[in-house]
Amino acid sequence: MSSELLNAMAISTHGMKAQGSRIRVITENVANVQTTGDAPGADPYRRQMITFKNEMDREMGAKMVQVDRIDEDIKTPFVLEYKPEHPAADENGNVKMPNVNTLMEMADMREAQRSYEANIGMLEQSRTMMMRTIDLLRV
Amino acid sequence: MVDKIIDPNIAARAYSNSSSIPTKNIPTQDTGGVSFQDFMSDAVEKSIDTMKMGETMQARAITGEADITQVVQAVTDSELTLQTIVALRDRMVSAYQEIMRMPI
Repeated sequence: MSSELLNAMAISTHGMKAQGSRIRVITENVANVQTTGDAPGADPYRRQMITFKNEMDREMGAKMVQVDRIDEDIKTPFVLEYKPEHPAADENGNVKMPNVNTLMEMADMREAQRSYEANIGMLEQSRTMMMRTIDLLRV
Repeated sequence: MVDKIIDPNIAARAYSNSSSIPTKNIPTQDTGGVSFQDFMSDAVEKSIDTMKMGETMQARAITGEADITQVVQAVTDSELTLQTIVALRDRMVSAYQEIMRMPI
């Protein structure tokens, strides 16, 4: 005896949680946009990427969204900047800067925000529908 | 995760059906389904579980252990459960009063 609307609310909650993790990863990327290595020629901070998967909740019989993995972005190359006085500069005076593109992170952040809002919208809708149904009992 | 409660849809349907239940041969016959008493106690137990879950999550939110989305979900669940129970109780009480007012 379970309610589909309550299941819908649980699914929305999982979606919100997943988007929260995504925001956390994006925040890490933005915060570390200037983080360089500590030795000459050392690698700086590497951009992180989050992936989601859907997971079957047997008790509920619904597909929930879950955080799959948080991987490092190994494909985008590091940005080289000429800073001979920097402690992490190599023999040519170049410093490897993180492969974080702030603009891209902002776009990702906005997308996460919208997804979060969409989930809140669904939660509100399910709740309103439940309340309306209960109101039928009150004359 | 959170124990499920009375489905308001089912409750509303059961209530509207109750008016069409024939008044003859009410007792003794086993209709094959669960008895009303079992149904009620089962539903009430589940509701109490949901309410407890809501309280637990609130306590965990205060200590900072729980995820805020889970707290919101548990609290909303328990709120809806309480609303359902209160609405059902009101209907039952008014039905009882209706019967008590009947001239014999």
